[in-house]
Amino acid sequence: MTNSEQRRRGYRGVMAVCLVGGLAYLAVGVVTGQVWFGVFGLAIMLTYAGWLTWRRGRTEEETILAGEGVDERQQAINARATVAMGNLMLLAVLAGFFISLFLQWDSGVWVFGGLAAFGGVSYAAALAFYLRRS
Amino acid sequence: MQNRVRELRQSLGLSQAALGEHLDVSRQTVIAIETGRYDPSLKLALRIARQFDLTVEEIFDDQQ
Repeated sequence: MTNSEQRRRGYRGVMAVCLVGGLAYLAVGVVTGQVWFGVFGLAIMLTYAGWLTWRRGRTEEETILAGEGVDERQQAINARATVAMGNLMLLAVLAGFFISLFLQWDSGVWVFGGLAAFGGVSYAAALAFYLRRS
Repeated sequence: MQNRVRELRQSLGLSQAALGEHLDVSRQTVIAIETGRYDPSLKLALRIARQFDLTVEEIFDDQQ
């Protein structure tokens, strides 16, 4: 697959995520009787998709966010940014877990503890997968 | 890693964008390679070498 094919596929993927995310907001809003919340969520996701469509190709950041950063350097940068995000997310989840423990907030302990456990299991599974592939 | 990509590109009268199109990478990636901020993969290094009809060792120098 050439880079231009990958670029088209990446862009369509990002647009699909925005649309599905927006529709999920709308569905949750309708089902829970908070229609305005759903409409607002859908509007945000569609605005973001429109902004990416307008801005893609203007800067590298926007190109990568729009799913069109497909050359090897952009992919490497994207992978490093994803790892950085994962590390920060893990820190936030662990902070939430310990704060919930400290405040004796049971729901928080379960939610943050569950997310931390899911993160650990996901990491181990990804490690095993990539070790077998390379 | 030091390289001769800028010198070779200029000798062919190519812009960074044009070389990027030939190599199927972005203009920013060509700039990053030329300034030594990014070392290309073996696959891209071979494409660069073919573009200039040279060997990888004649373009890239890992001794410096």
